[in-house]
Amino acid sequence: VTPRSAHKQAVSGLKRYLRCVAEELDDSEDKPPEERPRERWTPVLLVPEDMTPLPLVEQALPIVGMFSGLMGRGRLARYRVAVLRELAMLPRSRAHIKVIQEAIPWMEQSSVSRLIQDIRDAGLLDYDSRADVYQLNREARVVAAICEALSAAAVDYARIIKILAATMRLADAMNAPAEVAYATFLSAIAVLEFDRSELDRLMDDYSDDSLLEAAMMTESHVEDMQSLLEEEADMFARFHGDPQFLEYDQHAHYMIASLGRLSAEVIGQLSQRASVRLRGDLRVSRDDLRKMVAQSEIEILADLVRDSALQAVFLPQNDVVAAFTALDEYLGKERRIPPAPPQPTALGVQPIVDAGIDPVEVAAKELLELASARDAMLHEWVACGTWHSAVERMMHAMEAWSRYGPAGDSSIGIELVALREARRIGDHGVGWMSLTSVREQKDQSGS
Amino acid sequence: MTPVEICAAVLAGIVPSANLPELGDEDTRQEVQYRLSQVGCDLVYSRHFESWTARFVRGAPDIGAVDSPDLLNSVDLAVLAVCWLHLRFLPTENSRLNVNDDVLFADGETPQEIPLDIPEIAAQIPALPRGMIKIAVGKLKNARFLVQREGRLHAGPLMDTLDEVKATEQARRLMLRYQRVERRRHQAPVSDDVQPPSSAALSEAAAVADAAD
Repeated sequence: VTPRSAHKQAVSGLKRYLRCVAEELDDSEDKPPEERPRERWTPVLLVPEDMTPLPLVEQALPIVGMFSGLMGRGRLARYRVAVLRELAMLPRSRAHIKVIQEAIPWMEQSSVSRLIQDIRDAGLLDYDSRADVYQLNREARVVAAICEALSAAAVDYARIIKILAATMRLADAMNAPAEVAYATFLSAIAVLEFDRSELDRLMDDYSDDSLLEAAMMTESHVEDMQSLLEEEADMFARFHGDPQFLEYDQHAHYMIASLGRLSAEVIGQLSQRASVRLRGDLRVSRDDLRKMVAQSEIEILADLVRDSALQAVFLPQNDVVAAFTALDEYLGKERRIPPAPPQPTALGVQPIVDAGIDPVEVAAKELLELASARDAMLHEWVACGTWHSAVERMMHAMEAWSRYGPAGDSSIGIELVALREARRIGDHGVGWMSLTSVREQKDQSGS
Repeated sequence: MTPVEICAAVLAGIVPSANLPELGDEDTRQEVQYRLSQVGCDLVYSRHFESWTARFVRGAPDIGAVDSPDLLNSVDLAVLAVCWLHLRFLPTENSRLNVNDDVLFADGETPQEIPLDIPEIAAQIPALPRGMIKIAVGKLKNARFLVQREGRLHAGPLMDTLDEVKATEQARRLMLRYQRVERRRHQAPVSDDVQPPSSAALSEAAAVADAAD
């Protein structure tokens, strides 16, 4: 051994030592503190623990704790997961450390050994000291498979129902309590509820692209939910005795129906709109346009033309002369007045025409005479001569009564009282005639 | 007329194209457009009125010192938009209904314009007092966006200078949104015999699901 090679070995050894110290320091970050201050308290339960999901969760803690042991904290987590993945892919169920180191050619052998030790400490790897071999336990294979399955940067929301359905199948395969599938089912319903609220929000918004995207995602979720209900029908059959589950099941079907219809309508309408925009035929009625305008805000209407409503350069000036001319014309208009009366003309004086004896006056005198005779009847004067003269006398008597009686100027001072009788005349062309008594008018005082 | 004289003419007012035959020449028109652009103006043509005029390339600067009685504010623009919707958008849209489905674009025939009056405009914008609408209509008439004949309002030559493509797109969006809202409003309510679970029950279930996960 030359001094030069001894120096090289010393330097190499020092480097390895420093690397080991550095890794120890890193590993110390992975170890959780004995008791973190944030967990020095116990939540207060309002009901007995048996009535909470805690027993169910506690059953899962051993396996979930393996994830915690695998991941730990710090930057070594990804190395441990990668080594676990390689172990799961080994064709042998039991392997010596040398075989493991050879199966992981991309890592230094000492590092592999240290990580194998970590995985063993996490309870994922069994060690047979007699045969000096390592063996992945069954939980570790599940953990490794789940880590493989979760090899995605983020959860694709479009596939969320599919993922939930897969976890339900996983729970079923794990022989997990039935309540787990129940809870996952409710989580899937909650996804649909969120989709519904998102669609409602976007429908009230102007973001058509976002609305179309959300509708397509909702349609995908609805299809996945429908598949979930069909594929897991046997699993859900366990809960058919639970009235609350039946209520949720009914709600799920209701959501599938209503959301499916809504998303299909939105997609159809927005897709049709694309062709409408291309072709340019939107059926618009004037009444629709009025209502649309009435429901729009001022600023939204103004935005239609805000950028392009640029004014002309010229400033129209009012023609003052023309304006006043128009005003004068307006004020000078002839008013609508009634036509003037005709010009007065001299009326010719005509001699008085002798109208002869007024038969109405004669009738009035006769009525007075009948009244003075007491208990006289009208027919005593009317019925004389012929039928025609009787008719004329009756008309004249009525005219005299109208003109001078109570309906007229009340100057005659008599009254005609119609009696409910008729008398046979049988003379002067008159057969029968109703009786009308003619008598002097009584005073208001009764005298 | 020289390009300078044409510039002076279109800056002074609206000139029938028959009086400016020189603008039919491409070179002359470009010369006029260039000279107008040097002072922030643009040469515009009204196809309905077959006339030329100059307008500003952009609106007035957003400074409070500008005192222009004819500057269009939001109310004026809203009234202008309503007029444009009735005088141009509606006839154009309905004239396209007879287009053959195999044809993508409508022909260029001028649709029938149905004039407006102030009461009709006021009825559609109940948020604005009628006096304000009258003032807006007056300003729009001064700016030649509208012309009044026999008491009815028609589209003026400046109405042709609006960006119809953009405005039509926005108007269609508004109309489709209105039709969508109306359709939703008239949709029959869902069956009453299917009652969704209460929100409290769903919250509790979600909490159970979270805990199980």
